[in-house]
Amino acid sequence: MASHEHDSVTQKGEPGHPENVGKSTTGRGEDVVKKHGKEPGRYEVEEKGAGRPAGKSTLRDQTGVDPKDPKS
Amino acid sequence: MVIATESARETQTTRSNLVEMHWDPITRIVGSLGIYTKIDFGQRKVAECHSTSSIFRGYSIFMKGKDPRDAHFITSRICGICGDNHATCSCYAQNMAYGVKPPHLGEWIVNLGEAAEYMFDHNIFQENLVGVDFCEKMVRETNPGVWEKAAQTEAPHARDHGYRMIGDIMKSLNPFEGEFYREALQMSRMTREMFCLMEGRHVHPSTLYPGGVGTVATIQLFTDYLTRLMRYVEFMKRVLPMHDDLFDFFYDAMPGYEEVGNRRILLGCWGSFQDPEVCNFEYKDMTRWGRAMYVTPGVVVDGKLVTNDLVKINLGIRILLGSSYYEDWKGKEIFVKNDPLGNPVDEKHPWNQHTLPKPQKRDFDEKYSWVMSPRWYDGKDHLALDTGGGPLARLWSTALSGLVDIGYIKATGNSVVINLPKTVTKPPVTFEWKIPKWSNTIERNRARTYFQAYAAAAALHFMDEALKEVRAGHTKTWEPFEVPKDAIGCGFTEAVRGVLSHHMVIRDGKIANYHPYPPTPWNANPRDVYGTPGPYEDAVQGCPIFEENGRDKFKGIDIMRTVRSFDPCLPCGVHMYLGDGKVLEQVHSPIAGAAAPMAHE
Repeated sequence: MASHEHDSVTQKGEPGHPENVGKSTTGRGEDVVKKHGKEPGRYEVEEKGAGRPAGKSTLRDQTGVDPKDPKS
Repeated sequence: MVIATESARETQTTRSNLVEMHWDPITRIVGSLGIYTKIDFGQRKVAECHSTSSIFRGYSIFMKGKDPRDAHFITSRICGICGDNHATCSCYAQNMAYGVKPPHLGEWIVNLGEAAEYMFDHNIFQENLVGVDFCEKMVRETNPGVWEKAAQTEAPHARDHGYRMIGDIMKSLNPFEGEFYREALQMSRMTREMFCLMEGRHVHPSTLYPGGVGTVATIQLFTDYLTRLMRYVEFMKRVLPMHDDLFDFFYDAMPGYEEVGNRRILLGCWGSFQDPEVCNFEYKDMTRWGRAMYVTPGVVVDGKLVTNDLVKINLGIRILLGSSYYEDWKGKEIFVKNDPLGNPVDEKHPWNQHTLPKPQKRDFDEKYSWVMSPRWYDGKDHLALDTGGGPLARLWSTALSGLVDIGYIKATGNSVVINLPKTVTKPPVTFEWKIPKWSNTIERNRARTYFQAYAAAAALHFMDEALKEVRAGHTKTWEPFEVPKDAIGCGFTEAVRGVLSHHMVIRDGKIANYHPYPPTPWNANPRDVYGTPGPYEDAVQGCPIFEENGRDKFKGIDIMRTVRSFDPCLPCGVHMYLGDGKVLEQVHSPIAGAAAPMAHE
């Protein structure tokens, strides 16, 4: 007799099981940030306007091959 | 399709004149719209009108239990035309619920994408769908006398648009072969490219998220957009005077035509284009940042501005039943008793709505539509606001508030001035949309053209601001966020054809309640519990008939112009039944005159 944890085609814990209904299946930027941290080459600057965040990037944002930023 | 039958309830004196005529479906909208009328051919006016929708969608039901972060992807699929407006509105609601603010550049990119959407959708609807109702072939068929006059009337702005006679304008609108019809198709393609540059994909954006956008912001991106935008600006310098000439001619050629589609001025606009300098997406500040939007929100009653406060607008929304296939949710759970400012939230407000479908047979004396009846409560009456097809309410509200002043656009209190810069072959041009006397068919259509120019002018401002950010090195376009366990949010914007709101309640990190209210339910709703007809019904009921055809060849052009002026869609097929068991079937496509009626027993 089938367990109530399984439906006719999937088992609990597998993708497609009813327990996953309504759960997002795609990767999320906010999850990536939590797991791997901020992308290299990007940094925050002072907030603007209505408390809006602002950010700039270095050349590392565009390439990982020994980037050299211009001298300021 | 159209079906016409003798009315079963007609009186003896009107027996030979009162005819039931139906247009069902009128496609290209949420659900399936049908217009059911009784036309009095003796009085030459529409005696009665019912607006129905025969399709149940159920988004508010299946949104429950979903990850809130999916809301914009799912609700975008509500519509195949303005899905991005839903995605945008949902992101606004999510921003509020999550407490996240996109960087400036992210907001400018959304604004540029949405401006392109207005330019695209209004263009294709106005020139390739509405224009057919005013083209040579249609006017010849429905009003030969008007066509003869058009062929002999000089166009006052011929120098600006290149068409010497009004008849030449009408010829250029003939579907598939008219010069302007074909040019407008090219413009639609180009504006769609502009949209895709900003939001990734049309019509369901792939780079639009709460917290900002995933669009990679480069000088090249904005240059690609700007080159197309300037071609559109040049295009508008011809289109706007051309439509003014065409629409003014209809008033001249058919005295009294202002009564077609005319209804009491009851307009709603929920505002569009956020200003990141002011908007923080916090409910407590919504009054302030709502008024800073580049299209000012507002409720306009009898030509007067009742409010431009988004908080008041929000709290006044009521979802009524009466003629809809749903059970009342009175006594069910109240999700939001008070808004974040402590104001009481009504049981009939979208935050507290429950959707309890009850399918049943259509009965025009009882229930006859899947559309509920959204109303705006002013403290005394439940007002059946319409959107004026979108642009009429947007321009009216913006003009009266007099808050927008960005150089390219200035709201004066009684008009909106649009300044378009020099383009390849034309000098700088200033247009002024003046508040009209009527909320009618012609003015809804005229406003659409003016708003195309408004959207282009607004996009020029957003472009300037976006480039300032890029040149300053502020290339961040998105901000991470956390989904709270419990939260509420609301988003307000303008879908192309009018007001759009999304109301969301999050519990245990999942959606507990979600109600999108797009413009067509506001326009196409049935009689509410108080017996107040919806705007289509109201605008068509009492509408005079100017069509010269008798009932045997009747196309219903004045009614169709009226319904289409609200920008729902077009009737793609017509099936006609004329008393005595004689059925006429005819294809009523945008190809005016292409289909001959077929009769069979």
